[in-house]
Amino acid sequence: MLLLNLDRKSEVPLFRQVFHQLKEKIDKDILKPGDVLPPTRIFSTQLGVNRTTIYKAYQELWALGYIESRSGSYSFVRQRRELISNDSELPVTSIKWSQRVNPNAEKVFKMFGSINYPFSESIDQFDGIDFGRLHPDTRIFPVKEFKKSLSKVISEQGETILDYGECKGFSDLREYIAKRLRSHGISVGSHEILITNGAQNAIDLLMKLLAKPGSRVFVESPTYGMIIPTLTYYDCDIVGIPMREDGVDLEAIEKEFKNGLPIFFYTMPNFHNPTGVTTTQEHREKLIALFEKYRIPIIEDAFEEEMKYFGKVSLPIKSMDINQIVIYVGSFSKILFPGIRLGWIAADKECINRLSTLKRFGDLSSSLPVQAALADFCRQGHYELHVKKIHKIYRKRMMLASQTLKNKVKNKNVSWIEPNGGFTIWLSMKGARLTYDELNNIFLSCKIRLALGKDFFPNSEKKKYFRLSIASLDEKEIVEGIERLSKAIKQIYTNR
Amino acid sequence: MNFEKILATRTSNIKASAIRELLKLAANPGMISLGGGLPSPNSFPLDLIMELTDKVIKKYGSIALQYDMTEGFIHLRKALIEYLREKGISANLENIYISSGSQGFLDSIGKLLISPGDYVAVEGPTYLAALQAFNAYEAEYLQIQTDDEGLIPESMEEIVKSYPVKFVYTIPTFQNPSGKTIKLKRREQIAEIVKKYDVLLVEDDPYSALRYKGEALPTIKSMAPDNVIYASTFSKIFAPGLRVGFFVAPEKFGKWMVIVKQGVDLNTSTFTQALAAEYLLGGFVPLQVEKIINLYRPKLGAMLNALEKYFPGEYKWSKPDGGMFLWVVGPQGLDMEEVSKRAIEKGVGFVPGKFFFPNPDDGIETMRLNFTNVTEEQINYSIKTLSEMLKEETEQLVSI
Repeated sequence: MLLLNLDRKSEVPLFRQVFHQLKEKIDKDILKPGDVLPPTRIFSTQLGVNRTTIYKAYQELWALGYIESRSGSYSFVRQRRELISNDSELPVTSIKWSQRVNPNAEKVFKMFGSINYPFSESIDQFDGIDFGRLHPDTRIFPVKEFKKSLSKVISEQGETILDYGECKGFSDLREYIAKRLRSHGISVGSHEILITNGAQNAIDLLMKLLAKPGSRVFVESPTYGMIIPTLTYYDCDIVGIPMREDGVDLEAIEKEFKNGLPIFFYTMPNFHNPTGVTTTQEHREKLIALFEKYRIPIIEDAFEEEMKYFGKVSLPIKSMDINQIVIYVGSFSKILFPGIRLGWIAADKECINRLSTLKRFGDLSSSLPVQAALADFCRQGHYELHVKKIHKIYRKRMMLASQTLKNKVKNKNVSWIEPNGGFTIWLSMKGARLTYDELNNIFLSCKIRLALGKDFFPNSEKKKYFRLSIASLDEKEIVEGIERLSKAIKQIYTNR
Repeated sequence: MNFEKILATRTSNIKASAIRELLKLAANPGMISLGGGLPSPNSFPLDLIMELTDKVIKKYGSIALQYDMTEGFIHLRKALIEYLREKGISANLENIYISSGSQGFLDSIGKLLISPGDYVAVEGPTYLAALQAFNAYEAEYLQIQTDDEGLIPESMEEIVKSYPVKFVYTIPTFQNPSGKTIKLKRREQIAEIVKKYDVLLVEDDPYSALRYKGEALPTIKSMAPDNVIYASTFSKIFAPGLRVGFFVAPEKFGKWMVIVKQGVDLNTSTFTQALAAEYLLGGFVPLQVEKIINLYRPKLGAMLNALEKYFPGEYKWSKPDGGMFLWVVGPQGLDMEEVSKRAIEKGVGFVPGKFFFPNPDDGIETMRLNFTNVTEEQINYSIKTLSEMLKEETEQLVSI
């Protein structure tokens, strides 16, 4: 009989103990090749353990090539080849990854790896009020309607809807988007649209398509934080054009042209992330004229196009795009829900055709059943209804945030730009002679979190900025959060 | 505007592939296509998806529609740890990651590791879409020789000894396109070689669950955990439309993959990941896989029978125990691409094997046959039709 010594109080699971001891017996040649192991049923009774414990232990032994087992028959010890390192229990990283990876990936890792982007594990455990994330409020997601649409497309369209999709995207959804874009003055057909896994995927595909090592790329400064590592990966020379209160500085663009033309310009004319600035029609007209002159593509990131709930509506730059130089990026993430990861690119069809090839080799296609469900959801009118609903909700929330800031934060060093939509308020903090880390620690100690301004600047920036997002907060949380902010600010400026 | 002149060089490398043109033709109504590489829609569990959708909304609510960690939905990763343990792979939360299908994984690994001109060693033939994913990062290929038992370890050793290879890419079980499986002894040799030369190996394993007979084999990952990334997908055991894949990386490797994936798509759809998690947690995998196997097994049998019955003596083919593909090698001098064009006229589509080789002159006389998307009758008819054509071709070859 095979004797094992099991410690039932140990933290090591029983199956692991069985596995280790059997492995040791085989390694020490106590169990020899060809020896038959007891059947799991008998062995488990002998040892007084569950049968699955033995089963799991045998599985592991089998996986490492120690035993052979035939279904419905006994397991026996295999003649095993000596492997060079037998120590698979203690994983030692034998490969020096830092030397093995693409140097640009390593550069991105070194520069940005320690930034706590809102998609990392640690960030979900924050128990204060979170102004840091641009995650829409889960409490208002139209979950039921979406579920209904998913059930409907599955029962109506059957198995085909669970198959791989066309890499350009589900045609009904592309048609709906085209229709929706036409209501924003963009004349585009469904063949000029590519569905992507959110706007981020759109940006990555565009960089893959256009970015050349060493070439100049214009972005606003500050800009969307996640595009900086992406451009760094593609080894571009990132030129930051300063943002002003009325949008990107057009004169600065003209000046920069003289230092070398960029391969494209990346801009967010609506509710610019992080400043919240929306440009006027006039600004947009001048902007497109500047780039038309040299036929330089503009990437218009309109991730919050539909979040205009105050003031005058400006038409997208793409709506004035006679020469097809504008590549328009849209997303369902902020307006509906981001977890389905759906966005799109609308551009000249020559450009879209190339992008869809890249999309195919990147991930084949976005999820077909989810696209079909979304298309149905939109066709049923739920999308438009939801837009109206969230306009109402966020208009109230933003007005409240802005009013509370005015009432509670009365420090002349602290200023902000009044947004006319969207989710974010951009705070500037002058004369605070503290580092970002120190400021951040004060905020955290007051149980609030803000996005650090430095992560949005392509080049280093001395002034201190913070992005305040109300996307996932309700009215009570907004007021409470701003009160905490005001305490933190007092602490910051008396600390000096 | 003229986009062609502003494309990055990596983009200009990517051409619309000839295989797609062929597949388009093969999709015409009335065609019997042995050309595709897709699972049969008959295998997709419709009712189950409905049930799981309910479950997901009840259990996770809005969380399933929110952004989530780049690493992957935690409930899915936890469920996968159990699932993989049964396959003999030990994984933990620190080394298991989710990708947007296995294609998303291949893209990320290319983005992370390949600089222009870097070497990647692959089997000849190999999975075409892997080459296409790596092409985007301007990889150069070294072709590892294969025989009836797949990758030849000695050939691989020769390559990793002589070249600074970024990684070796292999599909050890029921390979696409050849249907071949690397046997245990070779797997051990391969594990030894990657350890000895400190090489990274990417073990792509989409098909091993589709085993119609014989015993499962241990993964290379289990023999050299620090040198192997193991990747797989839900596309073949659940539904491809979900676009959920996963991989187990060596310790400390995943953090780079996360950085790369953040730039690609932030995270894989939380909603479809939640569906996959409930699929595993509900214990549906064994039943569903059994259904798929029962659907495909007779098709493979029918194809092997038809080949035996009709194909000319000069032809050889692989006899896989599972997967979705068979590989046929014809006599030297035969141009299978020409045959495939003529076959389309006769209503039968298949993919000439040469497209699966990185070396342009290889595999001219080979073909890949897929059997999962056709009925047994169609298999018999199409193999018979092909064999008649091939007999003519072979006779012409002899007369020349």
